[in-house]
Amino acid sequence: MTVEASKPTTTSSGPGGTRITTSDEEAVPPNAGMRFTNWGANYIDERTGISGLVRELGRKIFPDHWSFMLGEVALYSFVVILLSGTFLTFFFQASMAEVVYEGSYLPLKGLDMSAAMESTLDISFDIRGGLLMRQIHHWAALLFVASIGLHMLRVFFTGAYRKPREINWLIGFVMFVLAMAEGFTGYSLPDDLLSGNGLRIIDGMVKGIPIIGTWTSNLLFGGEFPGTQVVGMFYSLHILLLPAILAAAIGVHLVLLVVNKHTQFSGPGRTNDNVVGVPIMPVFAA
Amino acid sequence: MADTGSDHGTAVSRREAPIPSAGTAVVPSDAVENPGFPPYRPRVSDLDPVKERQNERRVSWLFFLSIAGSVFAVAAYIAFPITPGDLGSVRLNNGLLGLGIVLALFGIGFGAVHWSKSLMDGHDLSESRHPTRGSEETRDKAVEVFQLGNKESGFTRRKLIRNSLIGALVVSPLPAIVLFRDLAPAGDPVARLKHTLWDENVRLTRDPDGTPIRAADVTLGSVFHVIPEGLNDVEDRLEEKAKAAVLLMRLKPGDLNVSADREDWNFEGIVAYSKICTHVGCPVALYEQQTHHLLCPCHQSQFDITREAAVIFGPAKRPLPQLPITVDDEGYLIARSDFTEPVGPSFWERQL
Amino acid sequence: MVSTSAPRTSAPRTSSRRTRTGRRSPFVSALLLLVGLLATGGSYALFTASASAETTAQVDALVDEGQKLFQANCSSCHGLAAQGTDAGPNLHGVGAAAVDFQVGTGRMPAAASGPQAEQKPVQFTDEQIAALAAYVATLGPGPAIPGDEYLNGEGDVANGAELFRVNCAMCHNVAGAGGALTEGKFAPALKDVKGSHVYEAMVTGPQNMPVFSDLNITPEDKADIISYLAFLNDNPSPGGIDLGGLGPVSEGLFVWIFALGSIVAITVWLTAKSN
Repeated sequence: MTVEASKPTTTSSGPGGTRITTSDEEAVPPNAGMRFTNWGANYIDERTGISGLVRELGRKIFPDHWSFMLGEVALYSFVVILLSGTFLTFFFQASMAEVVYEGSYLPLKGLDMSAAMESTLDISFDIRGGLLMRQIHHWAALLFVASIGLHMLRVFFTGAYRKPREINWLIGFVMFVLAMAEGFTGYSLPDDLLSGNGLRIIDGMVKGIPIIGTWTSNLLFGGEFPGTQVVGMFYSLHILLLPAILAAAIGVHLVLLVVNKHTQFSGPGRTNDNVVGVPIMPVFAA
Repeated sequence: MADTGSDHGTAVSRREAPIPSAGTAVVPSDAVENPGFPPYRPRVSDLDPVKERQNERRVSWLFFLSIAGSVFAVAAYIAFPITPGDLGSVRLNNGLLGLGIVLALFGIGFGAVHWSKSLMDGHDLSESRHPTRGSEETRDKAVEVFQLGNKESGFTRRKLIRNSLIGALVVSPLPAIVLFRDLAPAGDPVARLKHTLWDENVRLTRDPDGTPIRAADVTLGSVFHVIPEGLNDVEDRLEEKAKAAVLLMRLKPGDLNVSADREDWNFEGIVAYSKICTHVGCPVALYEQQTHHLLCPCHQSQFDITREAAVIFGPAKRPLPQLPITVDDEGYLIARSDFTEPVGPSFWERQL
Repeated sequence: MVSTSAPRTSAPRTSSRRTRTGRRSPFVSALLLLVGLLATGGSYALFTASASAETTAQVDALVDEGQKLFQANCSSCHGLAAQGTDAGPNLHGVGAAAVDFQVGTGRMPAAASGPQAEQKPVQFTDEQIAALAAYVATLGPGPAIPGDEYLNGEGDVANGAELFRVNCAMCHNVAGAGGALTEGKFAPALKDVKGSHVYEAMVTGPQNMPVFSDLNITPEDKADIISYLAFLNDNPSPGGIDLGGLGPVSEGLFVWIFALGSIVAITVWLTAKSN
């Protein structure tokens, strides 16, 4: 397969939809850049068959109302969370072993604290860009949850949860809960005052569950509150289990979106049998 | 399942009334015909080649700005290091680094968007939408697949195999669940919840340094944050502190309404209450000296110290447990015994 | 002439009524003698008082001025002898520290009586505040204004921070940003509060703040707490704008209104047709 040198394409638009036709004249002979692209595309297609995907989805239409972008805001904030979080995992110690802080933050110098808190303080005050990454991670997380909320409101009030998209709605709801769970496990990791308060409240709530509450709290904290287990456990949840489930759910959510096609607001030329908007390549990709 | 009535991929407008597609609850039966797209409104860059080149330049300027941002971020990382102990240098380093990264990413983003809005083809395109379900032929084939599978394996016919398989699948996750038992230590958690470090003759000491408190030190209107003597040397210090933290206050003896069996639980107006809220366990320490109200900051439960920490507001259900105190022969405050009820939030086995 | 010594118990001088003989009775002579003695003694006491040591006089003058200021500005709520009324408590034994704090931060004279005396513009000069403090200090023994060695901010910041977290943060917030109490009362923010006022507030327990006497938190520990607060004042938040130091509440508000708002604005721009 080769990508031909730019063939002029004509588009005829008007009532009744659009047809794209290409003329068959050869324009200019391929230059060096184009030859590389040809070679590269060929290499990948011969090994993955990706041309099928490109053919089907490359010019897929996306309606261009701004409120349809909110799910994307959530998606990209999740990507930012993943990237900044990966940076943090290289420096964070998810251990509740007691250490004495000897770093550069004066109001805590010489005090006993967990290794988790100590590594957090090091990230903030002794690693260049550490505080920035913490802040990006924190605010992206806040934006993630807020944009999911706004996205769900949009989907609800435009009725885009109805058949055939009910499963997508349920998956989205599950993702909302997962996002909040990620947030909770995440802010419990630094083991500071806010973490401790949050954990204690969850402990109280769990203890209040009838019959199994005391035992569940015992399992969660490895004994009595606060124990030495919870930060490590939440770390596994926060960087491994929950993001994996969340990523898988995002995948299914997007596949269902592609299969069902995006909804659109009513307007001239828009019916239940078409989707009107801009193609992925090149406009939507930008 | 009704056919949609339209050919796949052809013109949208129809002469007859549209047949409802899958997914609509309301039958659209308006007489308004689909007018099609509004006429395309060209942009300035479609019409004027000068404007087109101008927009081109703008887009590339945004991309150059992005490059500058990335370079600036790297330079800032090197040129503005963190001096240990100087919080201003932390702020500067992170701030400039962040600025560079923002410029870099937003440059690419805004550049690409501006490119697509002003220069890329702006026509609305239409794509056909089919019901999500497969075509009749596909569905028939799918059914045939399952039917063949059933016939060849004998799943529905061989009930013994089927039922025993279902049973096996249901039970197989059990070991995985049970494996998590050892997250918790052996032994009964309830017993631990019912006892704290407080006991007869244990001195009340200041939090965090552990110095014992004389009754004479506690002046009217004072609040002392108290831990039991010996807490700082215990191995599971934090776990014990989470149950044994106590708030000590002095009121005028006349202000206290002491119930009959608690007459010797206070010493000359000095009272001690558990600091662990009976709602979900936050430390309750916001004491108002004049109103004698104790507020929990988490969910705003209020306890009235003049009435043995009865709940006067908020979600807590039970009053704070009171620690019976007295003085020893040197004048230091001591506990008479442990709390007479478990401290902290309610749990199932509490009354048992 | 008003005598400052013993009140006159002798019978008032009546207009002389001459006896038939024109001679005074012996009784009247004794009376005259008594009056003379009292007058001499009284004058002596009066004049020698002003000739005693200077510092006592200065203190007395300060106390006097304080008393005058008190009677003019404070007695309507606190009573002429500071004994307290329904509108204001008894000030006997509150000490100079209480006055220096309350008047020095503008809380007193209070605009209205109630559980929360709000901080207002200070109404007196430093000399006047010192006078009031000196006067109230004479009403009964109470906490004194702290010495400078506890206020210089050179204490152990880490110890101060820990004590702050244990004793103060639940009402005043970990970063000293202030917090809500019940029924409209609040614990004020501690930014830029003078060290002496912090000390005095701890030691006197103003309004609903509990008392943290020197037997509860030692003067050295109080100095450490003041050093911690000074550290917070001197070091701006390393993370940039701190949104009031209120944590998740203000952050959530910021995200929903400003951050999400600007993102939505960007999406509107993104999908709008170019001109």
